[in-house]
Amino acid sequence: MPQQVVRLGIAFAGLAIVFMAVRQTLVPDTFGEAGHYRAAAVDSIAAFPLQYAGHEACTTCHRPITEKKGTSNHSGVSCEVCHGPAAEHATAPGSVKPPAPRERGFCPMCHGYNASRPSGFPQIDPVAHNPTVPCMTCHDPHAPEPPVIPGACRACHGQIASQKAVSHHATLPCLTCHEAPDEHKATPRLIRPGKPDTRDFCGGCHAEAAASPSHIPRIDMSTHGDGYLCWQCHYPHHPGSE
Amino acid sequence: MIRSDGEVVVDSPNGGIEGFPPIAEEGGTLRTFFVPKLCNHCEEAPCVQVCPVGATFITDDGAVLVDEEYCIGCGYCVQACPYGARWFDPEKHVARKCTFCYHRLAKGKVPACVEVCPTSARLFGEVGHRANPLARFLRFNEIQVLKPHLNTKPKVFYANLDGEVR
Repeated sequence: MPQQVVRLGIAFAGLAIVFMAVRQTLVPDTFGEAGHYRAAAVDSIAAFPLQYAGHEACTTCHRPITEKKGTSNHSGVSCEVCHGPAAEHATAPGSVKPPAPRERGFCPMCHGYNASRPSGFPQIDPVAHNPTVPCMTCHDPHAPEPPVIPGACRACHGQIASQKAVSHHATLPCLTCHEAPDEHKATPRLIRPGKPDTRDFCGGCHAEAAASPSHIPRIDMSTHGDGYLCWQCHYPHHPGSE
Repeated sequence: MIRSDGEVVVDSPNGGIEGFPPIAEEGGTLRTFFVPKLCNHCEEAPCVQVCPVGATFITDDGAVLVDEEYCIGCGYCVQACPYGARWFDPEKHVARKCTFCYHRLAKGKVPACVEVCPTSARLFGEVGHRANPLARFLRFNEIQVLKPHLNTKPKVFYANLDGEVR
């Protein structure tokens, strides 16, 4: 064999060895096993930690509340939609507690008016619809229903009923303030329902010492209003209006 | 939003995470609707074709994934994706994308977006499998994909998609 061919062969063999060595170090271990990629990457991605436990996990422990939700308008809404990812809570129920959003900003994420939402989907204008009151005051998030205005009153007093429905007083039944004898329904003009006639009646909820929930606005009954009656300044069916 | 004069307006600041701005001049609105966009997990994925190192790939079960340890952060795939579904991780300096929650699928769960969608607008299943809710949905609805003319063969399907959506 000519000497130059042998030398060429040695040079090629050397290059091939260098190439193999470089390739061995640069190409990752499992590259090309399943395709033009590192097969081990699939396993490392599959091993990412879970964030969302899934609604089945909630049902195991919180049966009463999931059953209640399961028959309500929110039956399709998974627990973690509102309570956030709860995989950690599912593994350590005692130490990690998922949050419960109670502030007003949360519900309008779905229920605030947006023209793109399907018609018939319950939507409100968060500015006009009972501002400052948390949604939970009137609506149970696990079984949401619109507050009911008594049909018996609404039949005649529709305007008052619909005004009250969007006011701070939406949850108060008419009979909280009015005494309506049954005869009022038969002869509405002869038998009139009662109206509160003292400042102390409103004070029952709004006085500083009243035993009502803390989100209800309080006033000092002795100085506020300068002796005027409450309804001379505040319209009881829509107390927020001027 | 499609105005009555035919002009199309798309507005979803920050992916709509903090809500949507009120629609101005509502009188001139013809139609408005939501189109959630995600990685389409294309069968002929442009992002996989342009990757110079094989850091992005299609698994045997069809998901398009990124190997974060092997990605060199060149950003070609971010440019190549016709759906704008890829982004660049500013901390790790690698390309990121929707994985179809591959880690959840591996544990027999549905993707997180399907799990928490409050109106069950999203459905997940095996494409080409005959007896599952997805196959039934595909049979009974008008199905479209995004940018069909690119022939990327997406595995994300939309029902009753408006003709204006591209």
